Amino acid sequence: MPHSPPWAQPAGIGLALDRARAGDEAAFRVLYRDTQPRVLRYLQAVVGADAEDVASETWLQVARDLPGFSGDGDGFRGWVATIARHRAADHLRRARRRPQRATVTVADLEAWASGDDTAGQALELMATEAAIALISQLPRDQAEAVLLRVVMGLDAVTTARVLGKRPGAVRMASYRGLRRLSVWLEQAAANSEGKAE
Amino acid sequence: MNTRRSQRMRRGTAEQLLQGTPVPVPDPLTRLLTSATAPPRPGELAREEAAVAAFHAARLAPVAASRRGQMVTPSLARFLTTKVAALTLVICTTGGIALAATVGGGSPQGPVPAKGPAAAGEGGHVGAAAGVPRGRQSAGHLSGRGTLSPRRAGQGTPGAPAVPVARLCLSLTSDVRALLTSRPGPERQGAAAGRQVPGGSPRPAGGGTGQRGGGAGPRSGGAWVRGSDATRQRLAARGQAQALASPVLLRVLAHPGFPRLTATAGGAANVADLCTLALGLPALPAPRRLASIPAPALAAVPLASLVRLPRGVLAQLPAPALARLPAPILARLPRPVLTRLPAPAMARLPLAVLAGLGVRTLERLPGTVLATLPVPVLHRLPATALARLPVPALATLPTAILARLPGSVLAELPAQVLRRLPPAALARLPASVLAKLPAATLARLPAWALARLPGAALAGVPTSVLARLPVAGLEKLPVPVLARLPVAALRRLPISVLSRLPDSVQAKLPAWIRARLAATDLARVPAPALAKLPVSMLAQLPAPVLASLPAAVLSLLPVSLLAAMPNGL
Repeated sequence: MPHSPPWAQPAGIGLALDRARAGDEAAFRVLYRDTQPRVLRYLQAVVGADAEDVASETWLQVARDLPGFSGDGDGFRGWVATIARHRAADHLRRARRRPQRATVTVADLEAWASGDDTAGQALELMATEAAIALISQLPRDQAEAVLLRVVMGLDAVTTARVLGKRPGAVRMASYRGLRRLSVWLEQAAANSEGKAE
Repeated sequence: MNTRRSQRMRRGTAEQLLQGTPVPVPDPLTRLLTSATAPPRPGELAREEAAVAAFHAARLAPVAASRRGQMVTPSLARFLTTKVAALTLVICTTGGIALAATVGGGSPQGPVPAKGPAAAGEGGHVGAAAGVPRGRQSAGHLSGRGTLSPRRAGQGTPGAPAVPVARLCLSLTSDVRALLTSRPGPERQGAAAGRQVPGGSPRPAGGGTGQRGGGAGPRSGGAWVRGSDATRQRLAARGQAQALASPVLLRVLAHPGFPRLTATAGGAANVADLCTLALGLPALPAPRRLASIPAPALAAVPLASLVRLPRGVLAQLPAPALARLPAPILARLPRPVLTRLPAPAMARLPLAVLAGLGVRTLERLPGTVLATLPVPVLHRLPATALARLPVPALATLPTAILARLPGSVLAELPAQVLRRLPPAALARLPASVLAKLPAATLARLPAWALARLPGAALAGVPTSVLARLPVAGLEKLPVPVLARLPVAALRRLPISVLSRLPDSVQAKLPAWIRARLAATDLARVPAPALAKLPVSMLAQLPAPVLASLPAAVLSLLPVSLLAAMPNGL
């Protein structure tokens, strides 16, 4: 079962970007609806429960600096991710504490590990949150690389620019992150099978 | 990392997985990533209106010095993003700024960064609480009062409304206050001036008395023009409210400066209520009193007052006034009212409200807004409206919607989208567009549409499809393509086309067609030359050719052959 790519970016995102730069509210809403959920999920891994507040700060800056942004729809997401990351860093510096990340339960792991699609669908709403929580438990560099690539839908080069690293390092971090997630899920599956027997 | 399955996942595979490409990896991992990238949930967009308000606030702000690196304090951000009601009022305030900007004014001061709760407490103004820089609050406050700016009031603002209600109301309250206090001060002079220039500035610019007047509290008509001291503003507002409630008001209204105000308000009894709104005073008139004020007069009151009106009153406003209202307020109006909105205002409505509007209303929306509507709503729209959608948005629509569009619009779509179209829609495309589509797509076209295509475009279409073409279409096909057609299709072709086919293909044709072909060929050979052939060969010739031979030659032929000839030779 291939995982579906992130929800489709509206085809008119470039057009919306142009119109939002010119002050069109409806176009700004298009940008927001496409990007905000991605930013929020990324920030959940970085600042935990304060993600919504940091996302709001991010959008304040996006709204303010949008007229000066020059780039296409893909570039826009990278730009927003960069702002979100900076705002998150400011937030953590101010708070002088590590983020309180959401925890993922054994049941969550087993839900993914099991092949039961019905259960998966029933848990759909909860699952996104739990999936982000599980990815958040990776080492920080791996979690960020995976989320920026998978959830924000950025390519390795843009992700590297956001994280201030080289593309090769980003590819390695995301690879290691996926591998580690895979191991965790396999262990959960093995435990689940053990219980069933 | 110590299990075989995860060791098997290579870097290339991981890279494909990250890009969403289908790869053979353990299901749990793909399920996890699918969950992480599930479509947006409503809760994730809960702060959309706050972001939109910030967007508007940023657009309306004067160009400020670079504020890069400036952080909004968390408490302010939370305020900004959680108090939607407060933000609605921010929109109102900034809307006032927009109004002021259109009149010709702008914020005279540079933006001062908001200082969070401190600023909120200091201003005592909703705008301050919501983080609008103070410089802008001042602008909003002044503009909220129409032509309150002393600079502009003194100049007789060009482009001001025909009846400057706010200025007349200021003159009126000044005159009433002057009468009540029996103290001819600047108000009195203002009122006197008001008869020539209504609403003349009660505070002469740079005047020394202005400084003192500003500190004199409610008794000074000049207090409210400063707009920077919340206490003075409140006291001034209270003074104005008292003036409007005073029985002296009717007496002052009789002065020659105010008949236009009375007429605009729809009678002297309405003047106090209209002025309450025009001056942005805190107490709203009773709804039934509001109902007696003519809608055009209400429409001209500052936005900050307008947004406080009850829905029933707002619903009566003319469309241009409605268009000034911020989207969250518009969204609460009844649908029939929304249908009167001009398209740009309608475009600001939340998606959920737009989706509930009728087709005829939605049709007026610009294409970029239509593009954001949910698919079930788009389904309801006529093709003429859909045709206005930008091409990238069109390309994402379901095939069932696209199938209703005219060919000229479909022609703009990329080939990969066109490939999804049903045959009837494909058939509406111009031949030049069809010609660029892959053969597999063309194969779905009805025969009559295929027949419009140039022969070269048809070359790749499967033979079974080409066989359905009418003769006019078949005739256009190049010989190598024709050669592949089944006999059943070929036999419909005229002899002139068949004669171009290679011998190997002609050999597959029925005997009677081959005979006609031969006849065509032999018809070009002069009869005297044919007559020289031996009888055994002549006997092989088709009857139409034989018929052209001289009678002397025919007489040599067997009778059985002659009997088969046309016209019973």
